[in-house]
Amino acid sequence: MPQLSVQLGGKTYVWAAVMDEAHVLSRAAQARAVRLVSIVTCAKVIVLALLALLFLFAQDADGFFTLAFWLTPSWAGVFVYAALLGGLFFWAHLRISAAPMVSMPRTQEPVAEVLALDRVNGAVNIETLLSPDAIKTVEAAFELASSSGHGHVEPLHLFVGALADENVGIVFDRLGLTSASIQDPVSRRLSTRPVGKPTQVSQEAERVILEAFRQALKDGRGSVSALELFAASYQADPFLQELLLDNRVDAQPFWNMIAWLRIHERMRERYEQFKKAALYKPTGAMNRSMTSVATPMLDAVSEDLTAAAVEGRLPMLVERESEIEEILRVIEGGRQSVVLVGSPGVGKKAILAGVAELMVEELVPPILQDRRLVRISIPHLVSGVDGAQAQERLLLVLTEVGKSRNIILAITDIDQLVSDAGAVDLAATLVDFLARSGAFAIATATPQAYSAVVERSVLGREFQKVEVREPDHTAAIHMLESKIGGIESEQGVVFSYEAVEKAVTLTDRYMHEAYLPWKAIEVARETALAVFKSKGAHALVTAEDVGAVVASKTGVPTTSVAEDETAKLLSLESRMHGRVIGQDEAVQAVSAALRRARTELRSSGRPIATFLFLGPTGVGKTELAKTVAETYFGSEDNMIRLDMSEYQDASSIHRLIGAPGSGQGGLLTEAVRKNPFSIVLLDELEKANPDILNIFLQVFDDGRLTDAVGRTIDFTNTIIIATSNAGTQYIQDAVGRGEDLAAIKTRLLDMELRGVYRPEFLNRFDGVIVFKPLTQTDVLAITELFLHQVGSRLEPKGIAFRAEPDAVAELAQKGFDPKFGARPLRRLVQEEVDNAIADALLQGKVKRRDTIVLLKGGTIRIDASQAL
Amino acid sequence: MITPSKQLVVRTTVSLAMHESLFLPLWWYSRGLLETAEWLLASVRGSVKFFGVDVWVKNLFVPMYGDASIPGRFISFGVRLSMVVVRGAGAAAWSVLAVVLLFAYVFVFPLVLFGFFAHLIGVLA
Repeated sequence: MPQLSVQLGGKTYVWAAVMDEAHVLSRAAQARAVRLVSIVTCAKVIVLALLALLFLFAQDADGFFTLAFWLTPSWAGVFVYAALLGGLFFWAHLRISAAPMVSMPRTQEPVAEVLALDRVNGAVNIETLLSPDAIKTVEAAFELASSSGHGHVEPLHLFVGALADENVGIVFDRLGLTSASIQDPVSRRLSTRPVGKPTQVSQEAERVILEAFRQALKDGRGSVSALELFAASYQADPFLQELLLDNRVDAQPFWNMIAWLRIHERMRERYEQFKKAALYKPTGAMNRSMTSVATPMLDAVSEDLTAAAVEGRLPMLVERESEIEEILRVIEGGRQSVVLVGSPGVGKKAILAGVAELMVEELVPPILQDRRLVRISIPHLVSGVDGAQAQERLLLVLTEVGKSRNIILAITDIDQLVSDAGAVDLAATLVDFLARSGAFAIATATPQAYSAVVERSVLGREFQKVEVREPDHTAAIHMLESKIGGIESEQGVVFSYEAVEKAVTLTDRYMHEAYLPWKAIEVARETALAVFKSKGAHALVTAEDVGAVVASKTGVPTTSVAEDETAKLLSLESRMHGRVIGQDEAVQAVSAALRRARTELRSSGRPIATFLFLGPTGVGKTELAKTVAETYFGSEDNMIRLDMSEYQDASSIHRLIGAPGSGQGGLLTEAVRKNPFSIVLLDELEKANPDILNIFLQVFDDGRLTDAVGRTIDFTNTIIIATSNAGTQYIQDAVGRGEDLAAIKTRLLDMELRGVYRPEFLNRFDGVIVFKPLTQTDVLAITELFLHQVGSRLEPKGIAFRAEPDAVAELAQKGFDPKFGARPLRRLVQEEVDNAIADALLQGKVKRRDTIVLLKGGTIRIDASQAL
Repeated sequence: MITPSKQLVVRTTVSLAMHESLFLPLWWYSRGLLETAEWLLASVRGSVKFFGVDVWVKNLFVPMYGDASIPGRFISFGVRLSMVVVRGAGAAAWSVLAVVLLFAYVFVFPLVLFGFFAHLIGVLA
C-alpha cells in the first residue's frame, strides 16, 4: 500500500508497484515475453511473405497487380493476406510495448513536495514512468533485501541496486570511487538491517522513488532514470553521505557530478531538438518571408551568428538563463537595444551565441522571429580608412540593415566605435540609426569600457545595460562540465571530477587577471594536452595534473604536498637554522606560518603571513627573510625587497602603486603582479612616511591592493616581512639587564613603538617578533657559518678549506660588535680570510686537492695533497 | 539477479500474444486510432511550417526584398498571393494525403482480415 504521494495538476502520483518475488519474476518474464513476441512475429511475417512470393511465382507473378488476384481465392493470396495481417499485428505490438500506460506529466507549475497519501482511489501509479534501468535498480534493490532476509527495501538497497547502471558507473569513475572502496562498509551496514518476511518497500525507499520522480519532472525528462534513484537515495540516507565523505567525496562534488551528467543529457536532447528546428532556418541573407534584401556591404564586415548556429559552430549555453531572459525582456518590453557588460572571459559572446540558438529555434518573442543575428566586426569596418570614410562605411552597412528589416545587430566591444575611429561620430551614427529605424542591437563591453566610454557617450542613452557577472564556483563548474566533453574528444583523455573542480578552484584562487569560466576552460584544455602528451590516449586527467599546469603558469605550488615535501616542511626549523643562528622564536613562528600555508589551513583572503621583525642591526632579520624565500619560494630571487628609507615623503606612494594617469603600475604592485608567489621584504620600515604605511593596512587585511591603472593586485600568495630597528636601544638594554623576551616585547608594543607605528598597524601583523642581540656563542656559530661559506666557494676549484678552532674563536672575538651584530664579522672574514686565500691563489701556491688551513693570527697554511 | 524460469517466460509469451491478438481490434480503433490521428495532425501542422504558409500569409502585405514603392508593393502582393496559393496547395495536398492515410488506417484492418479469411475459405472449399 502506498503511503506517500506527489500532487500535480490535480492528480495524485504514487509508487504502487507490487514488490514481491512473484511480481518481480512476472515483470522480468513480461519483459522477455515482449521481446520474444517481437522476434516470433517478425519471423512469422518474413516466412509468410516468402511463402507468398513462392506461390506467387509458381502461379503468375504479374497477376499480383490485378484486382482479380486480391478478390479470387488462391494460396498466394492467403499468404499475402496472412503476411499483411502479421505485419499489422507486429506494428501494433511495437506501438503498444513502446508506449507507457501513463506519460510523464508536463507542467510549468512548481513541483509539489512529497506528502502523506490521503486516499488511494484515483491515484496514478508511476511504475511505468520508470525507465527499464530504473526498474532494474528497484528490482535489484528488492532482490538484495529479500536475499539478505531484510524486512524492508531501504534507500541503501536502492543505492546498491543502482551501481550496475552505466551512468552511475560514470559518476563513480569520475569521482574516483570504486565498488571495492565502499564494499566493506556497505556490507557491515547491510548486516545491521532488521530482518523480516516478506520484504516490503519501506516508506523511506518510497520517498526516494517519489523524489526521483520529482527531479525527473523538474528536469523535464521523459522518464525516471536509475541516476535519479541513485541521487535521491544518497540524499535520503546520512550513512551514504558519510560513506562517500570517507572516500573524500562530500555533497558538493557529488551533486556537481550528477549535474554534469544531467547537463550532458540536456545538451544531447537540446541538440536533437535544435537540429530539427534548424532545418527551417535560412542560412543566407534572405529570410523565410522574403522581406529582406541582399546585404553585400554588411556581409563583408560581419559574421552571421544564426547561420553559424544552424551549422553547429556555436557552443551550447549553460547557466545563463537569467541573463538571456533579461535581454529578451528588455528587447520585447522596452523595444530597446542591450549592452552586455562583463569582464573578459565571463561569457558575453557565449550569451550572444545562446540568443542566436534561440532565434534558430524561434523560441524568442515575435519581434525577434524570422530574423538573423549578425555580428559586426568594428576592426573590419574601420580598417585602412580615416574617420569620415569609416562613418560612410557604417552608414552603408546600416542602410542595408534598415532595408533588410530582418537583422539584429550584435556588436562586440562597442566602445571601439568611440575610441578606435577617433571620433564620437560612429557611435552617434549608430544611435541615430537605431532610434529612427526601430532596429535593435545587442552589444558587449567590459565594465571599464562601459564606465569610461559607453556610459558617457550617446550610446549610454540608447543601450540598456545588462550585467553579466562572473559565475560563482558551482556555476563555473557546470559551465566547464559542459565543455569537458569537447575537450575530452579533442585530446582523447578523460577528466576526473576532481580535475574539473580543481581547474575552477585553482584558477579562481591564483589567476586573478582573468575571469571564470574562460580561465578554467583554458587550463582544462592545456592540462588535457599535457596529459595526452605525457601519458598517452585514454589517460585520466587528475587534480594533480591540473595543479601542475596552474603551478607552471603562476609559479605557485598548487599540487598536494608530496611525501618528500612533508619531511621538508616538518624539518623547516632545522633547515632554517642552517642559515640563521639563534632567534629560535622567529624561526619557529615563520616555520609554523609556512606549514599552515602549505596545508591550506590559512585564511585564503589574506597574505600567507605578515611579520614584523624588530631588533638591532646584524642579528639575522634580513637573513631569515632570505632563508624563507629560499626554503619556501624556491629561491632567494623570489624576494621583492623594498628599502623603505626611500619612501620618506608622502608623494613617494606613487612609486609604490603608480602615479595616477600614468597608465603604469608602481614598483611594488608591478613586482607582485608579475611574481605573485614571493616574499615582500619591507626593510627599515620605521623610516617610511606614516601615510605610506596606511596602504599596507589594506594589504594585510584583504590581501589586495589597487594600483594606479585600476588593477587589483593579489597579495594572498605573498609573505610580507617588515624589518625595523625601532626600539633597538631598549632591546639591547633590556637584554643586557637579563629581562624576559616576552616582557621586552610587551613593553616594546605598549611604549617604545607607540611613537613610531600606529597601534592598528602593529595589530595587523600576524606576529611581531623580537630578535635578540647576539651572544658570544651565537657569534662563534656565525663565524663557523661564514667560514663554511668560504669553504663552499672554494669547493668548485677542488680546494678544501678548514679553520683551526683557536682561529675561529679569534675571528669571533675580533669581529663581534654589540652595536652592529654580525655585519662587522662578515667584513672581517672577507678582509682576513678571503684576501689571504685570493693572494695564495694568485701566487699559484694552491693547487687542486690542496687544503687551506686558517690559523690563529689570520694566516693560512697550505697542506699540499699527494701527487696523483 | 532474479531470473524467471523458461516455463514462466513461455507461459507469459503465449498469454501476451493471445492477449494482444484478442484485443488488437479494440486497440486498433481506440488508442491506436487516436495516436495515428494525432501523428497525422502533427504532420499536417509540420507541412504548413515546411511550406511556410503561415509566414507568407502573415507577410501578405509586406513588400518583398525591401521594395516599398507602390509598384513594388503591388508586385509583392501578387507574388505573395500566388506563393500562398502554391504553398497552400502543397500543404493541402499533404493534408489530403493525411486524410487518405487515416481512412486507410481505419479500413486496412478489416479489409486484410476479410481478405485472409475469404481466400482461405475459398481455397479450402
